[in-house]
Amino acid sequence: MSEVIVVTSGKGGVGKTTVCANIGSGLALLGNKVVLIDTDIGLRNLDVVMGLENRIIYNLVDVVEGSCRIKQALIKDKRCEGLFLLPSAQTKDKSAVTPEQMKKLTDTLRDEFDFILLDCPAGIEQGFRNAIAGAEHAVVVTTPEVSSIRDADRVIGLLEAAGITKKELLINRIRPELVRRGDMMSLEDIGEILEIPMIGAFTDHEEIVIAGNSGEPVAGRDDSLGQAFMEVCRRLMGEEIPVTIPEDKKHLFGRIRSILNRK
Amino acid sequence: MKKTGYAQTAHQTGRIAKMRLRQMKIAEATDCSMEELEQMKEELARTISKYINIGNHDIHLYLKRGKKATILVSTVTLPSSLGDEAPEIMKRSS
Ligand SMILES: Nc1ncnc2c1ncn2[C@@H]1O[C@H](COP(=O)(O)OP(=O)(O)O)[C@@H](O)[C@H]1O
Ligand SMILES: [Mg+2]
Repeated sequence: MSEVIVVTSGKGGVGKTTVCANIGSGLALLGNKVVLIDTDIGLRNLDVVMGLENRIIYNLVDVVEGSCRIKQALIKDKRCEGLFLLPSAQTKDKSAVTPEQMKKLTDTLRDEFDFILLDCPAGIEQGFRNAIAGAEHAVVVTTPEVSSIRDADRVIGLLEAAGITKKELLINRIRPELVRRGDMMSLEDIGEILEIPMIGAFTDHEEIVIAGNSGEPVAGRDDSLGQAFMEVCRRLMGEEIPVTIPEDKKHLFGRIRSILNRK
Repeated sequence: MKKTGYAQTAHQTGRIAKMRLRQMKIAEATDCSMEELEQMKEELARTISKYINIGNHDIHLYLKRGKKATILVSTVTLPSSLGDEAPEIMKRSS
């Protein structure tokens, strides 16, 4: 059975593309056949985060317009068995694709893949409607900030209206030291406001920036961050694992050092 | 330098964030402005205070999102002589 999951948020820059790349490679590492679709037409990103930007020949718009076959446009990630990317077009705009075409495309891909992950653009206009058209499951990404949470709330309402009942929350860029001193909303606070189950929580983590530089997902790495992404993937596959926040060790040591220095 | 009207309170701002989000959710769901919501609470307080000794601050509004409908709930905190501690429900109200 295959599943079409859209990674969305409303607000830009909260980590949708990062999350999409990491759960994509994580799900593939767990033995699934996975395709990632970048639906951000005009501002493609996912190829860069995945380190596959040099291998693009055809893109999403080419497939939808029928200028190539799906197989020709799919880029196989040679570093990760079972992982494929359908990149977006850089020179077209959002109206180049319709929600009906996206639905048809994802339905076709269901025959071939276990997971079809859609990286949604920011906003709630056509790009958003395209991305959610074929999905039955949504991962809503938010940071612990008022504007981001408000946008997530709005998006949750729109997903509900579109009949997407399976919605899960991923909170990104938490700063534990701010939460501890009461200057950032906690996971519980955010969960209470947004009222959907939580599937993952991540701190603001240096390793994500570093991995982004070289175009390598961190999922599957032998550290708390890599393992936390694997846990999100296992939850997506139906396992029940409690959500914990992987702390950035460098921050942790930095904090201990600053406490010691204070004395 | 000019003085601003901002409170510039940098203390436990997470709670302020949560309260503002709750208010925004209520305002969006009811299509009422914050002012109208305040007015509504005052009117409710005025009516109820004819019967029970309460003030403006004893009325709280919160949203409950059900499967079929969203419900706007108003709670009234009773004066301590009448009730015991605020019920669990109050912890969720704005
Ligand atoms: N947990 C994190 N810690 C540190 N940086 C992050 C984290 N998540 C995302 N980022 C960085 O934030 C930026 C925006 O992330 P991105 O995934 O492109 O967001 P979106 O797709 O929602 O616009 C990127 O530079 C990314 O490396
Ligand atoms: Mg993005």
